[in-house]
Amino acid sequence: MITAGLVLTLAHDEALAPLADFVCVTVGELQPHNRLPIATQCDSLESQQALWDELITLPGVLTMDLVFEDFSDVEDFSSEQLPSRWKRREREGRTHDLTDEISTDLDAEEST
Amino acid sequence: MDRREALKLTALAAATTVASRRVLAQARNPAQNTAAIDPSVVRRMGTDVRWDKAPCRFCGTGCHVQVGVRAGRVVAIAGDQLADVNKGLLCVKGYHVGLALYGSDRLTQPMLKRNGRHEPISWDEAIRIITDKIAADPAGFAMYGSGQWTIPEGYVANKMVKAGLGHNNIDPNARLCMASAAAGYVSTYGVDEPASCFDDLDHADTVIMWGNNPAEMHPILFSRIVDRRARGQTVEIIDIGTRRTRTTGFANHYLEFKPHTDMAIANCIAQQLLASNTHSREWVERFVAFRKDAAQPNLLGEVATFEEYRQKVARYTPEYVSTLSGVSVEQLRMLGRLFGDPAKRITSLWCMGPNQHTRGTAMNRLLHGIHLLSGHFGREGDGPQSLTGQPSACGTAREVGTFAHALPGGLLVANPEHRHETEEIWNLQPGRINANIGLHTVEMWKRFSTPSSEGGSVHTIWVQVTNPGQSLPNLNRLFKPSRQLADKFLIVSDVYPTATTREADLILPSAMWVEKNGMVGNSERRTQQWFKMVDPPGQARPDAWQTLAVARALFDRAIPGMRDKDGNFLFEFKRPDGTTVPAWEWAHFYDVNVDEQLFEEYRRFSRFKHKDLAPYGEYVRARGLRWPVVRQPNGVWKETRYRFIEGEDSYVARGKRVQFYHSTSRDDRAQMWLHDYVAPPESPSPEYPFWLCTGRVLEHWHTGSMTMRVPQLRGSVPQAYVELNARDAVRLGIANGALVLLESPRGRLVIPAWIDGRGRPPEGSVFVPFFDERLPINDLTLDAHCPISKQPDYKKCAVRVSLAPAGATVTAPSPASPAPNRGG
Repeated sequence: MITAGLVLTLAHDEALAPLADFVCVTVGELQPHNRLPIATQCDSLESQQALWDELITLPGVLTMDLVFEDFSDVEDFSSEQLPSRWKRREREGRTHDLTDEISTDLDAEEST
Repeated sequence: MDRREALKLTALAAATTVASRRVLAQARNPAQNTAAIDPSVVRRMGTDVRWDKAPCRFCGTGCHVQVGVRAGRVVAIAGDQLADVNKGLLCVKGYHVGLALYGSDRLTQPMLKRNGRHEPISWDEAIRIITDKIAADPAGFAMYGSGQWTIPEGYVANKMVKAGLGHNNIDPNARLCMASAAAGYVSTYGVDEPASCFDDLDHADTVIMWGNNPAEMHPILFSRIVDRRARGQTVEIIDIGTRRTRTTGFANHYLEFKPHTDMAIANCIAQQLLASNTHSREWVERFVAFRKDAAQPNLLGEVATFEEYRQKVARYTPEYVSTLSGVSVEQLRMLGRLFGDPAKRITSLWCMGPNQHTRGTAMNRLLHGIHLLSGHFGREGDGPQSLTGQPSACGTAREVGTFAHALPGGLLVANPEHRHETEEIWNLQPGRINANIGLHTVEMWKRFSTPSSEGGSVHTIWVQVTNPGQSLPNLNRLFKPSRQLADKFLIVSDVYPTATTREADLILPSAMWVEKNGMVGNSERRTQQWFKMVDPPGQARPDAWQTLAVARALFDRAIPGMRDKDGNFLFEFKRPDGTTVPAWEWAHFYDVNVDEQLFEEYRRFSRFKHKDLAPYGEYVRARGLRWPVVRQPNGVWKETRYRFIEGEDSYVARGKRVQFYHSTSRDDRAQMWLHDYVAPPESPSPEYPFWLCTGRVLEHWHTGSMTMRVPQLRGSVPQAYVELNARDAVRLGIANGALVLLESPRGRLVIPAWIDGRGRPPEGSVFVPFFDERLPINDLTLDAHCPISKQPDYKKCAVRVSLAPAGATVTAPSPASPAPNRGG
């Protein structure tokens, strides 16, 4: 489990509502100047990154700064074991349809 | 409460503490008695977690983190609330700096290439091999270092080469990123590095990004600006760039210019100031002198007059420059009006755009010039400032002087007085320091990749803390040929396998970040310190020890340069009782604080150019101090926010208001340079019709050797791509994700397309990040460089773009690409 504390800067307090949909997010008390402290807890590094990717693209979220992270449960990792699929999510309203075929070729390149 | 709940509350408490602070960006108020880390976080994490400070390992911002260590392993990271730079916040790279230690493929033992394979050897054998190479051919040995060297690491390497070997063939990779900025500062103010500091971001009315994308490259600095907006302040952002980036999304004005025409835009601002008589007459009359290039461009140039300057810029009218640059007349007039308004506070920020430029020094001078001409200088929020990309590009490359032309403290090898001062401090025989400037990066690698019989005079290069096999420009010319030459020997010290270690003859495993003591210097002249917190893996050892061990082995072989004029070893370390510590022996390296003793010797150099550093102990207490750090009558060591300004800078004489006390015209004036726009050395043509620009992305730091091993970062951006304009993509029949063949006169690459992605280049232009060693875009880039700074231009060359042939896969071999390995 990886736990992180973050500060979101919101353009307006309507941006608060969508955060309730995220079960991995605990929302703190809104602070002056629309600064919102939150905590995220995820079972894997990959799911944490996916969550952060979604949070930063929520309407009304201007910036997301990280304040604290505990990764004491993370063991050594191997870069060779990491997924190399193109996983970028929709961002800024634009889509990506990059195919698995591309990264498969890269994997093959790495293994030779 | 279970552990999961406790950790959640810990995280939330930390975030709430930071979020609730009245002002994130402004200087902290000591009266608030803020702790470095929220006490509740410390309490909840438990007494078995020990916390200590360290600057982040990555960029040149110099954020401070609190590092949590349990049982010899880094387990948590928190923002340091005492840090003026980042106020407890960190970007995504900073918060994964702890994880970057723990990739399972860390290099853990020395390895020698035999019969095409890297085989483990002992440290003793590795040191012997290096010593053999140097002893047999000291003139053919060169060192290639880094802006990621710590200050002591760079100092040891610099002294070993310049004092020990008697030549100056040492250069850092900082040559590739900020040499033009350094040349710009020296030739404008007579001394390197910014006069202002990051505090400008808290006070500027307008921040101009000159070919710069801080939203991704320096996100914490950018957060300081965005935070001001969130607090209701008006901060105007002007983005002057060649492609839309994440920064553009926050900008009030986006000025898209044709590559290289930024010089004309700067001149256009000057033209308008003079035509409308809105320049600062006080600054022209009291604080600046004028210079123009000599026949052979250099740092000093020739004397010019204000009238010559006026005539030079007269033709850069908004109408003319609009035609040249593609920026509209109205946008250019907006810039002219802005600089003509003395009430506005204007901060200019730049990084690689103006620096990686075949006229990089000139472009830097012009940026300083428009601030000097308009008087936008020396007030909070009002001045020009370059940013750096590495944690100690300033602290080590520029201040320690690891450039081929430099000596510590801003001294120069070409200056007899500077050589004499250096010989005095290092206790060398007079004349020991070689007066000839050494080989700059491009020349060093060119000679390494040239057969000895054809003038390739560099035979052995020792690389530390950098990855030239991926980051050098025009790899097919500067790097790859050497790997086919039997008498060229490449030594690489690094923490992970890289494109360079794979091609190395000898690999040395290095300790990283908090696995060793360290000091660095950030972009705003801030010197920072940390202590070793965990052990490095396996046999990995600090680079400073590696260099010391080799120097000592050379001393033991009676290589004369390794002795001072009294016959003692160049590097002596003493216990408090005065006895010598053999720190070159690994077993004794930590018997004393080697960093402290090296730093105390090095800081003797800092007084010559008014770059005064405080004693080591002051940095242990602080979250960095900005030089000059001057001891006050009450004993306090005072840092300097704004140089050359009365009341801020201790060296400015009373009543002067502004005093450029290292003025090259020796009259306390800064130099304003006359430069015409000149065309780039390579432009799109019918054969190669697109501009290629290269650079970085938020998630990956430089060549990705560390960040590509952090699962979050690699998962987010797992491979490189080419950003393509949607209209070009339609015209060329390229779909999103399709494989594209990029070709330049120097190399080719097959790479997936990203259309209208995060960065959006204009028609006729593409962008490729350089972090992915599997997709080496520097096979295509140009090694043409600025004639003064010798910094290459990675931001513009000509390429052909087409849909890759059916069946093509990524990373097609380049024409000049050699076989993967060569015999031992």
